[in-house]
Amino acid sequence: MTDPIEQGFQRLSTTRRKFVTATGLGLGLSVTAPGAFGALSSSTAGAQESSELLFGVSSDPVSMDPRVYPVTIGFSILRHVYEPLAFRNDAMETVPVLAESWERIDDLTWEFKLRQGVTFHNGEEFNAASVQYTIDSLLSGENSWVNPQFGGYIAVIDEVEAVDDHTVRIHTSTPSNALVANLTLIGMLPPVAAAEAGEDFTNVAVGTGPYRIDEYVANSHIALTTYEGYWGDPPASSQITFRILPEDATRLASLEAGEVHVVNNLPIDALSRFEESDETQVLSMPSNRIMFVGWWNDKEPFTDIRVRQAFNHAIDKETINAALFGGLAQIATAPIHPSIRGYTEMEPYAYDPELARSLLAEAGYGDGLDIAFGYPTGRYLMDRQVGEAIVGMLTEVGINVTPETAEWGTFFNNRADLKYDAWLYGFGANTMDPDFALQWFWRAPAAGGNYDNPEVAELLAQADAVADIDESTALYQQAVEIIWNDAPWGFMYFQPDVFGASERLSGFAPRVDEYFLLFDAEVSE
Amino acid sequence: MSSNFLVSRVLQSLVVLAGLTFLVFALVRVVPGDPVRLLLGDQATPEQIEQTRKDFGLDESIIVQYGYFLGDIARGDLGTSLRQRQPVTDLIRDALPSTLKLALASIGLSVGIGVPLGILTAVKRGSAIDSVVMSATLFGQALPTFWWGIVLITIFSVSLRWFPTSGSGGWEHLVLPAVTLSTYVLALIVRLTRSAMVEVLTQDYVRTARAKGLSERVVLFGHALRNAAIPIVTIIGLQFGNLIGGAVITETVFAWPGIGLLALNAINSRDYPLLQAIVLLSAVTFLTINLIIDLLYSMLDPRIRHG
Amino acid sequence: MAEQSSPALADSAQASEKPRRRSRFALVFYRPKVLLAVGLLLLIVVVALLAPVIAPADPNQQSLLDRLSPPMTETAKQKALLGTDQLGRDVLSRVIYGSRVSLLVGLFSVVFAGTLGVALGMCAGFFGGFIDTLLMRLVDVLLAFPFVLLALTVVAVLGTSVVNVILVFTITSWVSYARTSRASVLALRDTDYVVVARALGASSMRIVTRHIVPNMINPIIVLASFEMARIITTEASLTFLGVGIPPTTPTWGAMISDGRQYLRDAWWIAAFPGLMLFLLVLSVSFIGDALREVFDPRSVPR
Repeated sequence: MTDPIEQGFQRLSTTRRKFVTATGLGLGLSVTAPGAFGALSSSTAGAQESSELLFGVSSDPVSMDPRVYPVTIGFSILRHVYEPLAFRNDAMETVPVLAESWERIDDLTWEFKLRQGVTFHNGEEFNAASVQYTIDSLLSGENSWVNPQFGGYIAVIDEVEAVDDHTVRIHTSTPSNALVANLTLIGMLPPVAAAEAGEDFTNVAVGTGPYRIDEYVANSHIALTTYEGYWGDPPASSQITFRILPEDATRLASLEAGEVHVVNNLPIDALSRFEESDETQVLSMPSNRIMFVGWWNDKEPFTDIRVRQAFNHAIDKETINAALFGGLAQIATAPIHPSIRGYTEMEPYAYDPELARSLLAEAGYGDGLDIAFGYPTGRYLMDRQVGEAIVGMLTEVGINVTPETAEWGTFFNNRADLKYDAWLYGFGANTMDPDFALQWFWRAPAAGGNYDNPEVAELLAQADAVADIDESTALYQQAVEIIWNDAPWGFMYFQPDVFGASERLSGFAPRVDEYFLLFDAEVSE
Repeated sequence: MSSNFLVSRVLQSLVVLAGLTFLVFALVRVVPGDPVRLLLGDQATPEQIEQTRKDFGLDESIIVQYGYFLGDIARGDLGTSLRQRQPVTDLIRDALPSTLKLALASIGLSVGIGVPLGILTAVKRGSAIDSVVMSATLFGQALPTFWWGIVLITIFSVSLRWFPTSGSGGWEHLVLPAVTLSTYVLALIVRLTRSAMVEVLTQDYVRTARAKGLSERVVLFGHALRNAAIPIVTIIGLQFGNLIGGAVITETVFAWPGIGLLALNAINSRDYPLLQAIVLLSAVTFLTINLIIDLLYSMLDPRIRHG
Repeated sequence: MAEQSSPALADSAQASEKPRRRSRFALVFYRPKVLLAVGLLLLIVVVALLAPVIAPADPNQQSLLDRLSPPMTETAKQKALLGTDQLGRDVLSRVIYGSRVSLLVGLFSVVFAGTLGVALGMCAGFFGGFIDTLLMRLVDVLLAFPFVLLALTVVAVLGTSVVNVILVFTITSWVSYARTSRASVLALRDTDYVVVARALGASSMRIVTRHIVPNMINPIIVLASFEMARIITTEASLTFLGVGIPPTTPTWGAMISDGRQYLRDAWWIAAFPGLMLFLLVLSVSFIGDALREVFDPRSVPR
């Protein structure tokens, strides 16, 4: 019975019971109720020793199994529960987490030394078998509930070899500099419990992270408590509850009412109210998510570079930033964010409607050009407003725009089904690696509008493969320059990540990779 | 009314349900949007899409898929959500109590306030009370739900802090969503009750009853209300059926974890199995309520024959 | 009033009925409240028709730097009497143009759905039997179907346009009229006066038009005035789901929907279209009430 695995199952069943017993949500919410009535004013908070942090998120992470649903919010929330081998610190440097160190042994082999003495929330030990199981479960293709997108991140992996209990060698099919960065997306799982649970792992949900999941109620909330057996420093708050609040106005109201301490996706137009208030603060930072106008580069009229340039000159990025984002966005000066390796500063296409008109005329569209322009509603920050603004700007230079907007599901498929000539789109490079950030220009061209430049593809393939990082960076910079001058997108801006928070919240800051991590966050008094 | 009637109605309902399963099955697949592509995102390769489609059984012809679907239903299996990868029955079971609570509270509120107000205004028609209430119902029907919900939150949660803004839990969480949801139905019931009562109160038999010296209470509740009940009961049934299908907007505004939010997510991600199950659930509820209402008709009004 | 209390004799009183109804019409419609309502509706109709003439600005003309200006602001281009919206468009001009879509969608959906619903509901109630069963089960199927899904499907197959939005509302809302009118017919079908009329050899058509319609018009008019308001407000959620009126077209519903985010910071975006919507609903209701009194043989014009 002292077998750790056996012990693990005992713990597992308690976890499970917790999932079940918390039926009425009464427990979790009775904590917030005083906030609702007495207002979480400074006097009532902090009554208990344990500090609870309440976070209002704009959408549901869908599953507690980190292999089911890849969505930015899910990555962030589950990062508190599951840990990857390596991750980025606040300065965006890749640092060890569950791996202690790693080294590239040869072109195709990476060796990882694993951290010792790490246990999962159910008592299982973290070791080479965990890494093997996790990666295998993503790549085997045998688990129908595993979203292939996760396997796609690490598709380059051929085999995970366990050298000893705490050393693994990862063999790749081609040389790849991006491997470690891509592994930051993969949270490690307990092989015994996960294999046992299979599809049901979302209800077991144990990782090695500083928090374990207390309760998850779909479309309602996720309650996390600290894991006492955590290998690292304990987090600042003993409990975190993510409340799922999809409606913007409601999310803001619950921050104002003191029911939550921090909210994501703060609508820009409410910003000044939260900045001016003594009780709230606004935390914002341009993320690496580039927003652009996409089009089919292999279809008329966009096969003509003058048309592509005209679109770039027709869009007034500065005004969009000033008017719709209060200046919080960052005008794109390359297809990738300055904090990503391989960035090189390019001259933004100046807003010049006259030039745009004459370029269109030169290209033979002086008498007008019919464009079906699609933009999603509720997907990106201010998307509907930005979309309508672009419609106005394109109309201004004589383009005959048919605007179409739809919720994401319809929009996504309409775009893929070629129903739009041009569209508003965004791309965030979660891993901060140039290989990920530039993939729409060669490896996954459909999403980027079928840009096809063999020279760029060759440069990007080489850049990921060469072992010398300086050489790789130089290759990326070359590619970035060519892409920028080819104008395959209407480059616009990097979208800001905006949070509203109680003045009493400290230890939290937005990150350029769009993660929100609350390990150091706490509410004072 | 006879047991014959009941049996034939139940049989008819089953036929409707069977037709509905096919309609649902076909319609969710006509809506543009491919669940597999949505799930796999922009980086997916055609091979991955192909494989996942196969895993989900979406590569078969619609007829074959429908066959599997019927077979599964017969075994009580409503399938697995494509997005959550969890049994659909589990997801619905978790969300249903919230929706029922909200639906019952808002119907209770609408009927509890609406019918008495309707009677009051009918009896005192032309009075100041009548004018005030009738004007209020006009407000009630012109308020867009999402807007009204947010106004209530702004006033009662942010400014006064009487009720929580959102979420589910104790009764205090129920107040604002129930009020939001019932405002329109309440207005409708007040007006319907009033007009039905006015109509009945001018009928001969009511005059006769009055002339016979029956007390006003007996006239009102024994005769008039009984006869005015049919349109009122009809509307209540219709609205209740609607609510089970999900009060999508109210549940979104108040982050109320019910069937409406589940349905919205299912529509947005084109989660066929989940969507089908929700539609079937709302259909079964609706048909059952309809059956009950039809039976009530005959109880309320013996003149209605069932041929 | 005699002919109403003994309807079997109504036929003999036919000669006197027409003038009576006209005077009843006059009685009901010359009341200030009703005149006001009619005037308001006419005004909205005129505004909708003359939108290009009266609107001070192009409703789609953006001016991002002037966005969210409060009412009476002097913007670069003109005086924004009712302020500007989140893209710097003139709210007054959008309210004026918005009346077009709201009126079109509201009126036509109600008229089409009401006509279809009442006709089918009466058939079901009056003839009973197989027709009744078939129609009512069809109603069940439609009612049991989530509105949003139906809307998505219709628009997916036919595309987005004002006409298709009217179609969506017609398809989804005729069932309410059908059920309500069927219920009324059921209640009336076996009342004494209908039985007597039938015994006297009156044709089905005659019974329906002379006895049943006037008696069931009440709940239908109440329902219609409600439906109109509901449709005009629901149009906003359709637009929000991306299956409504093509985007950037000004509609009251879409303006209120957009404005909900700005309730605290720019109240005027939702307030003015909301006010217009309320006035429209108000006038439709008053006119509905008045019509009901005209048609309802039992109500006494006050």
